[in-house]
Amino acid sequence: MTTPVSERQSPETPVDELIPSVDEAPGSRPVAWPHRHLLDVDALTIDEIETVMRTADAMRQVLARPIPKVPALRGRSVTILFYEASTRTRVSFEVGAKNLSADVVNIAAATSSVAKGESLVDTVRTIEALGADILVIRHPVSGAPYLAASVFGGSVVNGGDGWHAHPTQALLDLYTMRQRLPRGSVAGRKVVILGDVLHSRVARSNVWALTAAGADVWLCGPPTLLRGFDAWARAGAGGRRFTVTSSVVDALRDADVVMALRIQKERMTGGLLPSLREYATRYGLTRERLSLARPDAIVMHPGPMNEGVEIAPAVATGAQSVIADQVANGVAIRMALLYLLAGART
Amino acid sequence: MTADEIRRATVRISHEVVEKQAGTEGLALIGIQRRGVPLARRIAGAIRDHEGVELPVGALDITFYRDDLSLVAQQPLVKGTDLPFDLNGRTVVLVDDVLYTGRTIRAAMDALVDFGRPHAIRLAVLVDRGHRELPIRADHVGKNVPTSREEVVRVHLAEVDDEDGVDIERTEPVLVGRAG
Amino acid sequence: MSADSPAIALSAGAVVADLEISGAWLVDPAIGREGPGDVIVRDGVVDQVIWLDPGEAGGARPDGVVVAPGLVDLHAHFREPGNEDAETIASGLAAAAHGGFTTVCLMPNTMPPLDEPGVVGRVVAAAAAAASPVGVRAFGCVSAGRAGEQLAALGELADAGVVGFSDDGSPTRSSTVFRSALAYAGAMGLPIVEHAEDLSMTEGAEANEGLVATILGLRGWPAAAEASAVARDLAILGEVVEDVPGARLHLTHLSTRPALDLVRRAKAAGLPVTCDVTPHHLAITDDWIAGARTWAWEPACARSAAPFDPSLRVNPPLRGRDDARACLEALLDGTVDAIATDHAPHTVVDKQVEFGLAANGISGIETALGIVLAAVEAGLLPLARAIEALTAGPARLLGDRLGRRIGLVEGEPADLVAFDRGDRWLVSDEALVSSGRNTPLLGRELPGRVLMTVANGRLAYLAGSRPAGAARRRRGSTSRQPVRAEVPPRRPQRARASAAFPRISAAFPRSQNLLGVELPPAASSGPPASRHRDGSTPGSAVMQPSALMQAWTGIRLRRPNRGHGCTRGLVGRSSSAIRPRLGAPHARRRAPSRA
Repeated sequence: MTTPVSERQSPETPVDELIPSVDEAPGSRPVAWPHRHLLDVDALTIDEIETVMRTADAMRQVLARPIPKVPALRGRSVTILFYEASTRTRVSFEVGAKNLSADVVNIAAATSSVAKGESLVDTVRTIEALGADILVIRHPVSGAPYLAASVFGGSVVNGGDGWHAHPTQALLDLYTMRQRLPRGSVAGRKVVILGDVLHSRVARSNVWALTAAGADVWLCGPPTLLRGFDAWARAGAGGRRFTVTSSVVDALRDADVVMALRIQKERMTGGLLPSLREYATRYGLTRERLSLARPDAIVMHPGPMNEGVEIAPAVATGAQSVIADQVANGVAIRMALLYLLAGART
Repeated sequence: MTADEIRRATVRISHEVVEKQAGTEGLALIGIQRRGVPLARRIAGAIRDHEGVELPVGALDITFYRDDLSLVAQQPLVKGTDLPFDLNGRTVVLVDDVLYTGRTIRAAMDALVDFGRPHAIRLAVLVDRGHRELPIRADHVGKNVPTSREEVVRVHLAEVDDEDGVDIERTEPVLVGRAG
Repeated sequence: MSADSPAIALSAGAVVADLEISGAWLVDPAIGREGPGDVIVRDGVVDQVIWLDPGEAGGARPDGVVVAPGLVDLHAHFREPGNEDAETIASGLAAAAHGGFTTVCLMPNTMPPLDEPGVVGRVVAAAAAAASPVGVRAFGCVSAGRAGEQLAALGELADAGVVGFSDDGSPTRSSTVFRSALAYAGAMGLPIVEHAEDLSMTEGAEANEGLVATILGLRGWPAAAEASAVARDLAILGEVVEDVPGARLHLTHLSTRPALDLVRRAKAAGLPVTCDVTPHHLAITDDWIAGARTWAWEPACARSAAPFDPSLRVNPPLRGRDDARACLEALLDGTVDAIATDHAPHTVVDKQVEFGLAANGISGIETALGIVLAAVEAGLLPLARAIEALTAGPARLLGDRLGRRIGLVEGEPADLVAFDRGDRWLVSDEALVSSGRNTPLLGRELPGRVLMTVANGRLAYLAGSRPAGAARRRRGSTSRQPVRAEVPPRRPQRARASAAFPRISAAFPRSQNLLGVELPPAASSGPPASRHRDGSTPGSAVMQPSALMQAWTGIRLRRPNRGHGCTRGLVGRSSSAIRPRLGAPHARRRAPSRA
């Protein structure tokens, strides 16, 4: 047998790619992940969001195995720095990182130490000096992860900052919707985010992710908790419009997805709401209200829930609820993002 | 290699696999994504033709097992793993297109043991081009092709590339790159 | 080098013995005149101001070298006493001189605040020790400890020389105290300077309530919080002025259209109210927090910087485009009386933190003129009005307590700034003199490099030099500088090498008292004697500016008893190193000899 040397032109690819250190079959190169950090969803294109979703699919396969652990991030160090209380986000990052065989360091900084003691910049520099490759940060002040990213040599993942952004939550919400909606797409679907929009980083990041994916996004809540959003809706998120209303009926009618947001007691002292009871009466997601939505509508909640306030217990655990899926998908999405960031070339 | 040579090599490997196992009892074929998978199916097809037995075929994605995440310019696309059978106690034949450094096979074996405990793992490849970096040897080889490191062996399979064939290409850029 | 080397030494904060500026564009808001002309200073006094006919003006143009009266800042925070890490009076004065200011009015929110005359004495002493010719005036507090509960020692403070009263940093909390202060100060002929903010609406606020704050999840700071405070202040003023005709209210750093509209109406109704705006509220919008970096009057552009830059956190917050536009309109129609810098230096420790935790304030005294000139350059603001709002406007508010006459007035001590509108300078860590590097303009070029500042007949700043009291470079994020009682000897520092700073040989006789001014890197020759400090005459300056000045501007700065020989020698020796100034060359016009 002879081995003819091909006449075909070899593709113009960098040298690095032509010498794979594994027996890589050529021709199957995907697009590189171009972001060093994940700070907000608004920085992602719809194609990049798609890459995250497909990578999360693979992670769900891993999670379904008897041993849900792969060595992809072996030798990498992930530091989880949370300045705010959190259970599901912190744990899902930790589980996700461990499933990828990363070394995980968990730092729970007391909220009270934010304004005093070691500055965030010094803390981040210390974490870097200790060898962290990826820093997952949650912080009560909007924009804090950007400050961390400005001094950290590795990748920063925003685990939620103030009222500003919660990109991994928005991506897992989108993933969950695609999983449960017919034809696996949110395009043209009416997605209602109901509750305390003003203080919600989940709502803001979901506006970016869902409008990018082509959903018909509605924000609904008491007028005091929507302040400023009408102007944003008119200006559009990246030019894509959405709808803001205080009318629960208008919002829920024929909705495909209803996401209730947590309402916090502090909102009453701030003079924004008369009482939780009144909120539950006027804006709580009850069975009756849910019946306005399409019969196959799904119900979501980013957690933690105040059952009986923003969502009735029967709705939270009802057949339409995908809240448990959100939690499970949270691990897959976070694994996908850690994996993509670990190999990012920017 | 021509399409015909690939076909003959595949058939020969299918005979060797059965001969080595002294039958088809407990055999399973697992292709390594991406071109190992159609090769595994072809071998299974050949075995069905001459033995009349349908062997289980799986697909293995080794993306998460690579040891070079920081070395490659881009992450490989995750293509998915599909092992529709229990590995425990089986003799698994790993199938891949090209055997080169051995690192893919090392990763594949790591991946495999996460799914169960096979009785034995064997290795079948279409092309062995040498330059091993790990102590790994193929049990069944379609063709040994001496190459230099500056060359790239490209396997084309109809299922993936619309045609069959194996080419060797010289990579010109090597002349300027990778000092040291 | 020998003692007769062609260096010119000026002693302590030195009297400008002999200065001729010829063929520049003069702006004198005191007489409402601008045009080409010459200014001649002898022994610190304006000797001659010669206005030229346009025909004989040569190359003098309003967009070239401009000479104007020294600028007056109504509103600056030097952090002494209490937070000398952020700024000392000495470093603040050096920064002021670099910014073209010859008089600064300091806000009293130091630690302790200026609520009793003893603290005023400390400020006066620190200013004297700084040996800067830049004039320092101080505001006293309205309320004791700025707590808004009872009046500060207004009368004693007035006797100590304060130019007015303010609880700036926050509004006068109690409306009752505010009313009393207006009446009490008004009877003494002094104004109350009010920071208009309804604190109940701005608690925890981070950024102007609007689209940017909504998208970035920053707590909104409503425009109504300013307008409602202004409405309160004006309502109280209207009552007080019935009883105390001398009552005067000055609203500082107004930033919103509704507030400015209220002032416009109040002025029309004859209320004794004045107000100022800051350069940053004129030119910078809240879009910058989202990463935009275009002036308020320029078309919106894509984000070019990372969002949440804490240097943009300021009180009142940066507003939207319409409010910036309103500030400009109010400046043009006279509703706004002055442009004040609200220079608010902060340490890295207080500023390089999370946006919402960062201290409020922009270090702005060095960039104020450049920002205003950018608006002039854009054709939005006449040069004369800009200068007026930086000189005569604030001077009117200060009245006799300014202590100098504004204007290019023959027979008065020279008090002027010369800047080159055709020469842009890069705002950088190296270029800034203030200890506070908290400006969003770092890395940006501004028009109008200040060439020299002369205050009260003495040299305060000369381009290419580094003034005494200039803050030392700070390295690292948390290193706190020790509090300095006096300016330490400066270590040699290389000035930037650029076309604008030709290298000139110079050496300095050791016998002279040297210091204060750092030179451009001397191409010569001998030890850099200028860095030696001789304690007997602090702040003395050595410079060899003539060649520089002449080459750039036609300014000649000479020492009379050395005569022209020195100057010529220097020019002759160095001319090959000097590149012509960008733009049209100025025709040299021989100054008329002294009568």
